[in-house]
Amino acid sequence: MAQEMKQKRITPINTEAPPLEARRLPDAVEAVLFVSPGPVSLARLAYALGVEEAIAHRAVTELSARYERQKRGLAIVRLADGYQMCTHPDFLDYVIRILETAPARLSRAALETLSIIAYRQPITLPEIEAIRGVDSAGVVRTLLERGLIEEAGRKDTVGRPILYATTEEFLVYFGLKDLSELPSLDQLPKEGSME
Amino acid sequence: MRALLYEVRQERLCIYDVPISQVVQQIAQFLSLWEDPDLDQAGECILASAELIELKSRRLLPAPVQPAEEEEDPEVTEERLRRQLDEYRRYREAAELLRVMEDERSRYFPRPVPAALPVQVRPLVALPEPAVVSLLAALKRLLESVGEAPSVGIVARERITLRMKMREVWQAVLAAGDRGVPFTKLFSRDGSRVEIVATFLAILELLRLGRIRVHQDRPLAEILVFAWQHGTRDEAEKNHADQHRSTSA
Repeated sequence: MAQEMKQKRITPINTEAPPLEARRLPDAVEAVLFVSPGPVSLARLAYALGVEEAIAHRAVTELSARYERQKRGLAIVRLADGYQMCTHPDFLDYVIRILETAPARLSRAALETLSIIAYRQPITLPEIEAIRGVDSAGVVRTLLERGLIEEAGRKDTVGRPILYATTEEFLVYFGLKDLSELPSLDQLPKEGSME
Repeated sequence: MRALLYEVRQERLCIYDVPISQVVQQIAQFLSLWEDPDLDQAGECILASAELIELKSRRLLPAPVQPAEEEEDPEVTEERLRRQLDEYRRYREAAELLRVMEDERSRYFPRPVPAALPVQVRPLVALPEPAVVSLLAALKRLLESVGEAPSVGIVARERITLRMKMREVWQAVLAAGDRGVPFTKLFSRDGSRVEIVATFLAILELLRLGRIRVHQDRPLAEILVFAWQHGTRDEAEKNHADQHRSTSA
C-alpha cells in the first residue's frame, strides 16, 4: 500500500497536467528553468509545459523581457540550443562574495589550443602542435577533462591519431548558441605586427 | 621487493644484473596464488616492479641522437615560417576573442546544482560479492582477447585519464537508458590493455560513487550496466532525487 503511494507520487505527471492559461506560461517557464541544473532546450521546455515549441519560445522570450523590464536580479541566458536562469551581471560582485569564488578562467595556452580546435575541428594533436609549435598534450588533456573538447574518431593516416572536436559544454562555457556564432577567422585582421 | 629496489637505487646493485622478467614472473605467480588479495600490498609490489622496469629501460635505451637537419632553401624556409607564424597569430587573436566571451559569460552565474537533496539514500559502496567476482572474470576475458602485446615494436605513450574514461562510460550508460549497456560494449574494440584497464577502473569508480549499477540475470549471463537514474521501480524513489544531479554530469 505504502509502496503504491510512493510510486504514484513520483510518476511523471506531464501527460495529465492541466493546460496552462496562456498568461501563466512565462511563470511556468520560470519554475521549470529554476529547477533545471543546466540549459533547457526549447524542445524540453515545450514538453514540460505541454505546448508547442513556438509557444514555449514566446513564453521564455516574455519571461526574459519581463526580467529586464523589472530590473530583476536574474536573467535568462540563451546558449547551446537552450535557456538557463542566471544571476544578472549587475550583481556579480555580491554573488561572488556569497559564493566565495571568482569566475574560473582558462589559461592562455588552453584558450589558444581551444581556438585552434574550434576553428579547425576535427583536428589531431600533431596538427595542433604544428600550429602552436609546442607540446600540447597536457593542454589537450586538461580540455578533455573539463569536457570542453571530446574525441571525434581517428584520422585515417599513419598511426591513426585521435581527432578532437569541441563539445556542447564548450558552447555553454562561452555562451554560444552554436559554432556558427564563433567570430569568423577571416574577419580577424590579417596584417599586423608580430610582437 | 622493496629491498631490491632500494639496493638498486643506492647503486649497490647494478640494474643490468637484475633479471627483470624473472622478478616480474615471480610477482605474477605470487599474486595469482593469492586467495584473498590484499590490494594495498599487491599495489606496492606492482609499483616497485614498475620502478625497476623503468630504471632498467632507461639504462638500456641508447641516448637520443640528434637527426641531421635537412638542408632547405633559406627562402622557402622563411616563407614557410612566415605562413606558420601568420596562422598561429590568427588563432592567438581568436583566443583573445574567446577570452572576451569567457569574461562576458562568466558574469552570469547559473543556479548551482544542489550537491545532495535531503533524505536521499544513495547506494553504498558495499557491492554484492558475486558482482565483483563476475566483473573481474569479465575483465580477465577482455584482457585475454586483446592477446599479448607484441614483444618487439614501437611503444606509443597513451594519454588516458580516469576522468576521461568515467565520462565516456557515463555517457554510454546514460544514452542506453533503461536498456542498459552490456559490460563488454563499454570497452572500445581496438582498445589497448591500458585502455581496457582504465575503462574498468572507471566503471568501478562510478559504481563506488553510486552513479551506475551492474546487473546479471544469472551466473555467466551478460553483465548489464545501468545508470542509477534509470532504475527499476522499487529504486525509483532514490533515483527521482538523483536525477537533478545526474543529468548535469
